[in-house]
Amino acid sequence: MDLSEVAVVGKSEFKVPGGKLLRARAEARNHKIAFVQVTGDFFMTPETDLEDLEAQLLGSSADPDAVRDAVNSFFRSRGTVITGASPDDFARVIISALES
Amino acid sequence: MSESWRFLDLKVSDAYTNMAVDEALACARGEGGSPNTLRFYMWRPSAVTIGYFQSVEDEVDLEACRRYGIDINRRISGGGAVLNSSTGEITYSIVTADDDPRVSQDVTESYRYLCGGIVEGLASLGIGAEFKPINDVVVRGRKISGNAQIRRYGAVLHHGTILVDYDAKQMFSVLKVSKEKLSDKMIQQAEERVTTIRRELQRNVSFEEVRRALHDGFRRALGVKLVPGEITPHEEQLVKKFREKYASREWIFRR
Repeated sequence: MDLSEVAVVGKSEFKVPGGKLLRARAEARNHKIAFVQVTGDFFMTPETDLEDLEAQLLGSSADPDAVRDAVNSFFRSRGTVITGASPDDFARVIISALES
Repeated sequence: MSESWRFLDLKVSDAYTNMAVDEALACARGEGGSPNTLRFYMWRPSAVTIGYFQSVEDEVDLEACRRYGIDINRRISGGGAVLNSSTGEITYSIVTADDDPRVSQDVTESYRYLCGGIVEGLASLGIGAEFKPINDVVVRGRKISGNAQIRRYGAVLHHGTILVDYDAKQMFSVLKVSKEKLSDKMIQQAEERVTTIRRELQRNVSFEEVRRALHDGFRRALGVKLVPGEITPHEEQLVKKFREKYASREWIFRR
């Protein structure tokens, strides 16, 4: 069995300075995102955008630059209002979960 | 002449009903058949509520909750995990239309306006409190009230809790606030970050006194007339529907 196919979900945590705590669980397989979930005490309107983001990231590139672009362009296109964190903070916590 | 809002006076319910009532009020307000509302409530049994985006596993010690008989629920609103103690706090909710001119579309300004009732109410008890962005009310830098807000159904639902009394040990045993073990030092640190009405006034303030102060505080800060009312039969129907969701494992453990 190829070691890269062993499912190990990475975890990370990031406290936004002056903001909220973000946590991510994520897993990459063959450089593609196979699982991603972000949790935390932030506020987001509409709140369904988070699930949509997670769904959209599945199967996309796990490369840090690609993740950063995907997360930022998703929130920009939706006009999501996030309180206590920025789109970059979401990208950052997802990237470090993928790398952990 | 100032506008009239409905006032739903203090009632005690379990977490599932409390959360269902808040969502039902927002839903009915958005449909247009219900008025703007201020509601006071308490919790029995005590319950941990976590924010919409939080994970139960990360935030809650399930075994400690079982031991204390504390329910667990997920709010529709974001924000952090809270122990809603049956003996330690008054919770309130405010529901308005999404386009109410008093409730700014700017998140911080809307919190400042709606939390103003707490600041006014505490002032009338002799406690100098202030709103602290993003979503807290603090006294001398210590948190006395946590709040959360969501816009949905064409309505604003804003709710929060005001600490009357506080059991740091119980709070730390049900909330996973830190990976460190429960220690005296942690409790001491928490007590430096959190305060309560009874602690500030150094006396056994009754819930009735707090209820009255908050009622008058919200009336003044919101600039509206509060008219005592009841939940409508339609809202009651919605409560039944939403209560099923809040009581389901699927909802509570969705993250």
